[in-house]
Amino acid sequence: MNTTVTQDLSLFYLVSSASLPVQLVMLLLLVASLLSWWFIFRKMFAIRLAIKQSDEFENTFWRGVDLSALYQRATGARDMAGSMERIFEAGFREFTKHQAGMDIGAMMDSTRGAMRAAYQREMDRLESHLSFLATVGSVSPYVGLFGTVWGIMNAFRELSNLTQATIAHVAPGIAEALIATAMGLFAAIPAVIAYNRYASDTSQLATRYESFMEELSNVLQRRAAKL
Amino acid sequence: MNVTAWRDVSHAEPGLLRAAVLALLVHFVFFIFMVFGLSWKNEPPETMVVDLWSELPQAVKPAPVIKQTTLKPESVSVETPPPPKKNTAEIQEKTVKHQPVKEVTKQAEPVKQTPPKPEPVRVEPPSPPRKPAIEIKEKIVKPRSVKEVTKQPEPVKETPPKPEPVKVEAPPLPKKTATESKEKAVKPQPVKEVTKQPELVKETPAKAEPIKEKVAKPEVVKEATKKTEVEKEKLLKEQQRAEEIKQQRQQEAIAQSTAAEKNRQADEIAKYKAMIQAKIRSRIVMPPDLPGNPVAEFKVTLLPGGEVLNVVLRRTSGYAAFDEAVERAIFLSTPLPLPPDSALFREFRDFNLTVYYRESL
Repeated sequence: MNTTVTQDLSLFYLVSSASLPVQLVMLLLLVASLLSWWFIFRKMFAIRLAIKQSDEFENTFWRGVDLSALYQRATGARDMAGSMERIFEAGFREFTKHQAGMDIGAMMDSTRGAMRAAYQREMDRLESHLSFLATVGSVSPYVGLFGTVWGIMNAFRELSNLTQATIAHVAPGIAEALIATAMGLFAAIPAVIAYNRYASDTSQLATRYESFMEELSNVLQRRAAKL
Repeated sequence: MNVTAWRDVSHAEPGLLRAAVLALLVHFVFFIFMVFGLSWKNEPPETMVVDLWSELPQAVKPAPVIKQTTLKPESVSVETPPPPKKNTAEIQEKTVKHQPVKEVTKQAEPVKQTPPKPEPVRVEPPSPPRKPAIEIKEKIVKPRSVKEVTKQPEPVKETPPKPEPVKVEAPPLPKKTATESKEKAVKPQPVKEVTKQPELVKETPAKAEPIKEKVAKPEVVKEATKKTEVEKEKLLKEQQRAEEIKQQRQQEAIAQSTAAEKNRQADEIAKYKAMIQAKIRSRIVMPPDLPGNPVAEFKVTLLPGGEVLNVVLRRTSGYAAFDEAVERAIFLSTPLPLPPDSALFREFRDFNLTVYYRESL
């Protein structure tokens, strides 16, 4: 931070002339920001796809397609299957296993159990990395603040060595320190926004899955009673 | 169809790579914005060098008049104004640098008559130290081309001893080719022009003469060169005089500026004294109905902030009530207005305050 008035204050200069802890903080924040944006886009695609697939599956399901045909389709194209389809698949498989004249109550319990397990897995998949976004959103401002405080501390410590202190001596140090805060906020703000958005999206999907599970178990129960 | 099989499949996630690319893109865009969108303080503050001139440098004008000289001479002539000492130093440096070149040129181009030239340099030693430097320079330049020689006159301009180098050169002149004689004839002109003499008219004949001489006899050239030498000496003297006058003017200008500064300070002091007076007067609770216009004089001691440290009655007005009223007013009106220039404060550390009973004096 041996800056004098004549040196330039460009972004590169400010970053490169920062002290090591501040640079480490900046690096950490950059990585956090990159990762968080990566997850933001990943989650965006994933959730969008999940909503789309759920819509499609619900459409086909309520159109009155035969359940065993639907099950065949779901098992056939498992890569393309959405969460709801997989829940259906798990429940229906459990349902067909027990068809040899068993107690309906026990059969429905095990079917619900299988669907519940599939649902948990799907939700777990949907909510993965959301905690990372939350962490970045809440922690990176503090990390940036730490870098700033450290940089300003250094700036003032250098100031104490000078007999004649002017704003020009402190300004570069503070400017480069503030870049850490800026980076922290840059990482945090999108992460927080994305976290809130995706959390609400996943909770919406969760309610949809749960209601679908209830409806499916009803349908299966009726079908078991018919048999 | 066991459970683990489709558990693995369930983890296939769409657009991992696309997400990564987009994330990088976001950062790249933001980075671009940070670098180019914001006006960072990239350039260091420019240091300004201000030269103060009491008058316009004379050397600048002649440059355009000399048609033979190329554009470069102008730039040189602009630089010339700084004190001659510098120039000589520079020229000497140049000569030091150039000497090896000179030798090379001698060896390589004997055809160009360079050998005769070095001799005059050795002859010259008696002349002031400046000359040799100039001389050498000229010689160095000459071997290269005639045009460059025409440029030389400028460094020569500034240095008064110029005529002598010409003298030395004069003998070889007749021997040399016509072009060289031309060069020498041209040299005197810039000198004249620098001094701004009305001899511009004379110069043209001077130019003409050498041309004739080239055609005719070398003796005429000698005479012409002698004439030019005499003229040059005159010019040099005048130049020196002009420089002296210049210096005098500069000194006068400095004196004037200091005087102006003093005046300004005096004005400032008077202004603030009037302000102090007004402030104090506004705080005086005048005792009613005093006869005449009594005057109280105080010696007021101030602190740098304008606080009143001490007030001493120097001359009573004869009415204790008025004296006390004024003294109270002085303390009441603290802090007194002081000029922002702390250098002027010493005028206010102890100052006399005269207060009249009536406003109209």
